[in-house]
Amino acid sequence: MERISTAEIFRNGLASIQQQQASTQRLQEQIATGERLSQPSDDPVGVARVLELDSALSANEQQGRNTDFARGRLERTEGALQSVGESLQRVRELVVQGANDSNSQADRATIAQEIRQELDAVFNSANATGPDGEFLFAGSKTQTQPFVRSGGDISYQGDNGQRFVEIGPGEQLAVNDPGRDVFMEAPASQGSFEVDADNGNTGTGTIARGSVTDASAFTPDTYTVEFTSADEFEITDSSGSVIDDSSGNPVTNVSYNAGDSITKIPGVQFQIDGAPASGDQFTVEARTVQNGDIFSTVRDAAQTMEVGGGDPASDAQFRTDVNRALTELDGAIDANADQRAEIGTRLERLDRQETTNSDVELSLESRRSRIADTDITQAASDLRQQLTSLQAAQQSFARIQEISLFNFI
Amino acid sequence: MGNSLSDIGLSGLLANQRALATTGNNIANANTDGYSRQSVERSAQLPQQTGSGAIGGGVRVDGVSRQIDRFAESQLTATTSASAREDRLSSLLGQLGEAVGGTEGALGKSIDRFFNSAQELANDPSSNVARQVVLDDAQGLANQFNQVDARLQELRRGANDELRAEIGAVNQRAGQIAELNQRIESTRVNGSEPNELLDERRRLVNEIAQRVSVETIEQDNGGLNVAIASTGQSLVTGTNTNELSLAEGGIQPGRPRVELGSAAGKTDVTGQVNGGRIGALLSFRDGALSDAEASIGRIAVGVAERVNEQNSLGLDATGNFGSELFTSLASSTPQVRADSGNSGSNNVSAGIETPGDLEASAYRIEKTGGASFELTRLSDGDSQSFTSSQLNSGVTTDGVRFESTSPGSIDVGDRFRIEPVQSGAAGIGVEASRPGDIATAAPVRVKPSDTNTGDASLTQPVNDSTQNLPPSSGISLTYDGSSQEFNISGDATGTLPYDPSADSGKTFELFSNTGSSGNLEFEISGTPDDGDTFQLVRNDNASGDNRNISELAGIAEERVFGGETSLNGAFAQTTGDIGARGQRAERAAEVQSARLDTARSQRESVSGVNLDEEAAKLVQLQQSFQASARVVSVADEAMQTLLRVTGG
Repeated sequence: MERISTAEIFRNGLASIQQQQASTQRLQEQIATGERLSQPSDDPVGVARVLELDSALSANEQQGRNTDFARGRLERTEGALQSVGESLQRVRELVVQGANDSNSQADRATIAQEIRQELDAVFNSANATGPDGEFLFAGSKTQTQPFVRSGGDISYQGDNGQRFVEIGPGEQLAVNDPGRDVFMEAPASQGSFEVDADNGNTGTGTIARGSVTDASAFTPDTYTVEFTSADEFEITDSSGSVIDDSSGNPVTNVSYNAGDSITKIPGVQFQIDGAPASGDQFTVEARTVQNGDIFSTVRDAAQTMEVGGGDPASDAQFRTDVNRALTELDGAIDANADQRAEIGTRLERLDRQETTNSDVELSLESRRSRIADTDITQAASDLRQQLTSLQAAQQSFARIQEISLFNFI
Repeated sequence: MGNSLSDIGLSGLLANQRALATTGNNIANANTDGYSRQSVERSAQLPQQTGSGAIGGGVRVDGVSRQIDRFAESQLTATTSASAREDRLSSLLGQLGEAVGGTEGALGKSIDRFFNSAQELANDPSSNVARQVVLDDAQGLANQFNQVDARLQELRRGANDELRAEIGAVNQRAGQIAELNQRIESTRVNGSEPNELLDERRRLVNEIAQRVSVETIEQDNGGLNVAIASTGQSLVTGTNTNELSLAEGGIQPGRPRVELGSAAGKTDVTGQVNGGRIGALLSFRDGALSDAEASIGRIAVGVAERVNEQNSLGLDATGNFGSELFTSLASSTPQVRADSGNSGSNNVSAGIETPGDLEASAYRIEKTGGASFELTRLSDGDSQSFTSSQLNSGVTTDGVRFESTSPGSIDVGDRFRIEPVQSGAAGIGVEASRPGDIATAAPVRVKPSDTNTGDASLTQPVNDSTQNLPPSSGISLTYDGSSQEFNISGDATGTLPYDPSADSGKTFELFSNTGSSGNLEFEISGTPDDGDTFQLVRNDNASGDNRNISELAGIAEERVFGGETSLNGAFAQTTGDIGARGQRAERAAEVQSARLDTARSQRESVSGVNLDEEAAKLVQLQQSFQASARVVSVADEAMQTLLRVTGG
């Protein structure tokens, strides 16, 4: 038979009560704080995981702030581009209005003035600043005003830097577009050639640029359309030789029908209208720089209005200039729409990324919660059980220590 | 008169009185620590031969003896050491867990905050406020490292103070045991059993066992020899004692050695001592605590060196290459300690070369022969040998360069301890003082010529050094369509062959292409026309360029250490490691505590006092005492009767 000492009875009774109390305390703390882990040794792998999840959550939160920033930037840019687009539309309307023969030269001068006001508006938009005072279209030189005027010329002072912001893990989004790309080199909607009427023309013929129909067939050069008579023309290249059309026939003594589309230069088409005189010349010139300068486009439109027409020859020149201005404006408007669509695409990407980011956040939070948070239901039930055990330990201890042989002698 | 009835009664009275007194003593000492219950040993007096046979002579008290079980006693001593060690170790590891940041991980949060601010600055690189916030958070991060280090050093000091106190307590008790040995021997000589002295001596042994594992051997003369377990060194031999002491200084500052011996000679037993609180303190101080210092220090070095490296690659607000954002730790952090026993010239030095290769360990260099050295990584004991000339020109291991200016003047057997990163968390600070010191922009940008007609484009170049940068007059890449290559002119030379149909999207490098130092990388894509030109120019006035600060912010995600672990990951790992050690110690403590309980109840089942048992004895002895008294009174009555009959 195992002897047991009286001191041992007390020690054991007390130890079991203390142990139960420590467990109760632990559970109470877990319920009160909602946190399952109070020190790293509670669950070393879990704690390390929680710290990593915390770090990922913090990065996720920062990406959230980054998307907010990117959104602010892009919306400002969008706003500036929209007002540029409106100005271009207005200029186009003014050019169409000014082209109408009912206008006097004074009317056209007023219209020119209005166009110049729109030019100012475009100029201001191009120098727009973000919420923090940075120039939006200066590339990386955000403290330098990107567009400055010197005489009538507007030049670009920024650079071609583009800023990328991290909107998600490894996801970079451009939040600015260098002004050169936006205003000075609006992508070549004008096509790859331009047309002009010779200054010495005596007839009323005008030339309007059509489009490139087949870029691969087009050989860049300066072509001359010369009227050999009032109703026949031939086309020569820069060396003066008559060219062949796409079927291989020499383009000479071609009969002229006013307003018809001319497709004799392979790959392009254009129109000549009115009544050219014999010996009048028109040039079709491949552009060396395919991109256009919005400011020049608008300024040229204003100048066209300022010069206007008057006699048949200058009227013809006016028509040609108006046509060219309209084509260039259309190109600029198209380019502007493209740029805004591009910004819109980026904003959409932002929206998608924001959804992804919040999904990621949710998933990180729930993983963290599974490791670190107290399962309240479980803990409450454990606590109830623990309290019952504690009570039992206390009661049995009290009962056992009551009984002693000394009570009976 | 021989064995008269009254003598017999009297012997019973005396014996029961003694027994009652012993029971009383047991009851009184029921709660005395280390007390072993005693009992009176009796035997029957030798009988007297008479004509009518042998008549008993009453009872004799032989002595009072302790009830003990030697095996249970030594089990208790052993489990006391084991349990005390794990108990202390688990609470020390708990403190260490708290010191590095507990489950909150404040240091990890500071790392995140710093890199998040860098990202915020990447959003808005021209903002002075954002720059200031980065500087503030850099300071906050450095402070957090310093604080963690201060708490670790506090733990180290605390552990050493506690060691000193525990060693004092061991020495005091060793002296008391030697004294008891003397008294026990002389009591034995006088023929009686020194029960209380023996109990007291066992209690003292157990008190020493709480501090350090011991082995005891009982001598024939009653003396008890006490040795520190697994050192082979004795603490008490009979009436003589050796002393434990703490030896400051030496090769490892902050790690005084435990020595055992007398004034005549001392032996270093630091490595052998185990068990008890001293065992726990040594294991904690030289194990978990040192590892934590190295791990945290390595992260500090990683942060400082990696951030400084990136900051130096970009242009700051004044357009110059950035300088150090944090105090450079590469040369100041590695600590080299010469062993105090070295006899030659101490000229070993160490510097950090590649922060990404660092290990959280200390190293030892020992001269093993005339011209040979051995370098040992102390965390795993991995070692390699070098010649003097190799060490003279520098040896790089784990990202640390070890060097000796004069290996010949180091004596064979001389040793050096090198801690490359341990003081990193103490040393980290913020060096930059102005918000403009943060290098946000890259040094070079691509400028395509306005007259380019092709659709080729270059990505913005990335530099991994500052060699040859930024270009002073610029570098031109002009495409030659017939030979399909870019001709390089300006601040660089050579050609870059580029076949648009095959090479589009390929990465090209400058400077290194002609064997020159430095590196500038970019991708070329698309089809350039003959004569198309790209200029690589100094990125002037690029206050809005965020390329370098983006890279800097990206360090947060970078697997800085060994291409596997990010800075924050390394911190989480450190916390996890400490937690795992704590968990192991807690579990061991539970096991040992259960074993201690078993050992104690085994001892108690033999030696402990049970009050019910003593109560029963009390009743029994009282009855015997009363009966013996009755015997005496009967003897008296018989005598009276006899006297009356004889008319006396």
